[in-house]
Amino acid sequence: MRTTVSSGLAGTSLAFLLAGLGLRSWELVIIALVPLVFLALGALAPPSRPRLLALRTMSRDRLEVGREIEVTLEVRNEGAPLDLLEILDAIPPELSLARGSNHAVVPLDAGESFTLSYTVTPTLKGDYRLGPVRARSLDPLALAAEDTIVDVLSRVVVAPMLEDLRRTKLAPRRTRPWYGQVPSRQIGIGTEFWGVRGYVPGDEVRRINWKACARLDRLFSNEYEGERSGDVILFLDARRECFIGSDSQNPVEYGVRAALAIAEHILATKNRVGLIVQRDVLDWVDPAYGRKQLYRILDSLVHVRSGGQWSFHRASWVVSRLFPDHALVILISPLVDRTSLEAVTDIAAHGYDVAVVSPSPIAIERALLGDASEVDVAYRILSMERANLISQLRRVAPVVDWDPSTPLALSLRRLAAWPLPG
Amino acid sequence: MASPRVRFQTVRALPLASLLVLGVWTAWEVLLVDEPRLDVGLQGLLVVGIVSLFVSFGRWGAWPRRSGILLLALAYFVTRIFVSGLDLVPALVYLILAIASVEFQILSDRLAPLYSRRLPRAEERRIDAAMTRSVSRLAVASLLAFLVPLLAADLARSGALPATTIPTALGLSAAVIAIVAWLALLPGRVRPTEE
Repeated sequence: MRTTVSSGLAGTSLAFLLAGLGLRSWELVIIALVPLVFLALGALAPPSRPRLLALRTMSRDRLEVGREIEVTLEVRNEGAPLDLLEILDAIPPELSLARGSNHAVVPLDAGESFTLSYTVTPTLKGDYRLGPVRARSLDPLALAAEDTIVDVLSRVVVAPMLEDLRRTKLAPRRTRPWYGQVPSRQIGIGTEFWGVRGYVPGDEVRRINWKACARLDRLFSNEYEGERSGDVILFLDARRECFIGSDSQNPVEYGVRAALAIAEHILATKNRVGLIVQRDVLDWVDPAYGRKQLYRILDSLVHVRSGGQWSFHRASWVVSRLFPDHALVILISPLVDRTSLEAVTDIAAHGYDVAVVSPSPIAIERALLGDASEVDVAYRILSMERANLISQLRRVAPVVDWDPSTPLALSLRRLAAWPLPG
Repeated sequence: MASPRVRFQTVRALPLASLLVLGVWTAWEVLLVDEPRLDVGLQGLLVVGIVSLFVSFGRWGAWPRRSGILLLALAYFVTRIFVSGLDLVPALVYLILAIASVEFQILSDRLAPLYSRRLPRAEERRIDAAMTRSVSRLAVASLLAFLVPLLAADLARSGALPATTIPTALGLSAAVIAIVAWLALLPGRVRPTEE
């Protein structure tokens, strides 16, 4: 392929020749030879098309935002010697280069290998591909180039940072008849004392209440409060209007972090967790238990990007048709409009327990904009509007107004009992 | 071998130094012109050329730089052809310097970002080899571009070649047009923004 330099040299030569002929100047005709000599040298050793073999190795392919991946790309020249080879290992913009370089210009003889080492740090959760490898064989005089693309792709899954909610008391109020860790306010298998009843043949000896037996001269057994499990549905609001702030700092990204942390915490206490994400499409994960469910939810959350302009009015319709009743619905939304109030009211009216976790878009914007006086006035007005909406919501459901610059666990712990006892 | 920092600075300084020499040389030639009809136009060309070169150090990149070099070369050759008379040797040196300046800039764009990073020793050696190869090729090309036209001029003046005949002119024109046509038929390089 020709380059602009070779075209420019040919044009210059032609211009001097025509000027020389037009002005009858033999010196100008002679000067026309200068660019021709450069072109002739370039034509004598044109760059050959690179035939490369590339192998990429990574220190890990699943990681959290902010962790580092060490990437090593080994490129082997399977074709003719290359005077100058420009190699670029394409990386998505969400992975920032921490050390080394993904770009090199090197000479590479036939059969010779070259290793490119660099370290990248993901700044945003997502499912990314490293590659392809773009290579350009260059003429040292920049008069011609030959391009090739080596399709070596490597997948990197970047999970959002996981908030620590271990000391948070967060559980569904209503339970189902499956063993778990939530006190069910019913007699069953558990550890909390509930009452005493007369002994029935078959009761375990360790359940006999010996003090009561001694006092009343009959056999009595202790009864315990059954510990069961319940259902929690996480409803993540990722509509287009929820995108306020930057790519890495916006309510949708913080909502994803909150959803993952809450899912991890609730699954660890042996409850079922389901997920709905309202973005440009409606995504959901059916409720289930255990570690595998956490990975299913993580896989769904990793792909969340804000989008779609659906109304929030139909949230209750979606929840009631897709998920079991008596579940705790945790709506994770920045509450950017009043439709969320209607949605929460509707969901509660369908018989669900509802709670709201709201990453504050105002706090995010304020952190990005700084401390100008006009920003301060706008912040105060918007804060009043938001406080008004939240106070209306609190009549229906508990609301956690989360400033994302503080840990989520801190905001959740401020609530003494959550959800409110019915 | 010099340290990577020195090499980085050298690679960065080469195009700047060559542009500076071109600018000063052209200004020297143009400012000596005392022709009432030509001096304003030539000085205009010079000023626009220098402004383009200054602009090219901003974000705009290659096109203002190449336009600037083109305008300076135009100012120089118009001055030489129509005012002070064309001397072959300085004209050859000037044109080679202009071409070398473009080549230095390309070399700087390719290699300076690599030298600016901390790289493993083996990688540095390879980049050094790439730079040496480019600079030596450029040196050879510049030398030949100086010697070949001088040789052709000597042959023409000695009468060995019939330099002023119609067939010679037609032959040279046909050769250059053939090269231009060949280059035009080659596929163009993909612009970096389209990659």
